[in-house]
Amino acid sequence: MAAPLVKPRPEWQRFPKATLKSMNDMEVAIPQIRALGIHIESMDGPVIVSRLPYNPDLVGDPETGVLHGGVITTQIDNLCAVALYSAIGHAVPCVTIDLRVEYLKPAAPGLDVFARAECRKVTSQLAFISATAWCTDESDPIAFASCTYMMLPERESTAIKSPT
Amino acid sequence: MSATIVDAVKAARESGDYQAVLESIPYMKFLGLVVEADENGPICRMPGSDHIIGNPVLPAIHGGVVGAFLESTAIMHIMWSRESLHVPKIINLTVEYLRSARVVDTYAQAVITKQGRRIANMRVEAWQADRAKPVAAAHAHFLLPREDA
Repeated sequence: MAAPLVKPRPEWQRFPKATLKSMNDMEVAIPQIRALGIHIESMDGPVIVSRLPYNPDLVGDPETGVLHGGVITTQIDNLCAVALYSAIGHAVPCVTIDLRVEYLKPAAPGLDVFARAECRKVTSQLAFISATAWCTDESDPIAFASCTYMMLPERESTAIKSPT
Repeated sequence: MSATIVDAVKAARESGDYQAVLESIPYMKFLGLVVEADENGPICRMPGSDHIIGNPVLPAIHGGVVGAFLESTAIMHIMWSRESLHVPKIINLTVEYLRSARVVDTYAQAVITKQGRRIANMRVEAWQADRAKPVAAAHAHFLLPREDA
């Protein structure tokens, strides 16, 4: 599915450029993302992949060792923001306004979780992103998600500090 | 190991204190959640702490953590409402983000909007200083474990 080219808007330019390195630097600067150990594995325009290492502290069902659904929710929420940054090229301040996650099956105990997000549409204020998560095989997903972000380019504050 | 949470839920039904149930679920403990209850069911509290921050500049709680908190509150409600001795499986969750969640105490309470034998439909709201100004709301479906007595 070819992603639509996003025409860069002048108000986005003053925010830090989104590169794989700058995004991973941002990830470790976000306390919750650092606590979960999430790493951005790849970025290709509007399509990005992140990895969440399995951690017994993040289990939601002690009887099975399955990760809490909220951990996947956090991985996906974070991933969708980065997919937006990657799609438009800049880490523009933004907030989640809506997030829906469908939990297709439990995450496999002991295994890392991968997630891929694609930013499918960007308007002047909004971004629409969809995501899929899996453990060993992308064709056997554990979750689907869709997320809507609102951009706030008028805000000074952003999750990452400008590199300059 | 499988007896642990079932025993904790049974004990909580005697005592009315669900904190041990909550703490047997590692991720709820990781978030530092505390559970109390009123006549409508559990009210979960998530204390403000550094490791739940998603935006260090504002600062604000991570949106995913807000979702996880809402989901956890719904799970505690189902276990409190005697629908399950086990952790119910989540089917889906839709979160509406209403206000920026500051890094202070956040509270949430759930209601079962429809309850079948296999599925529970839930609505959950989270608020901070003022319950009339929720920071987020969610609706979710859970699968109720069948083996429950």
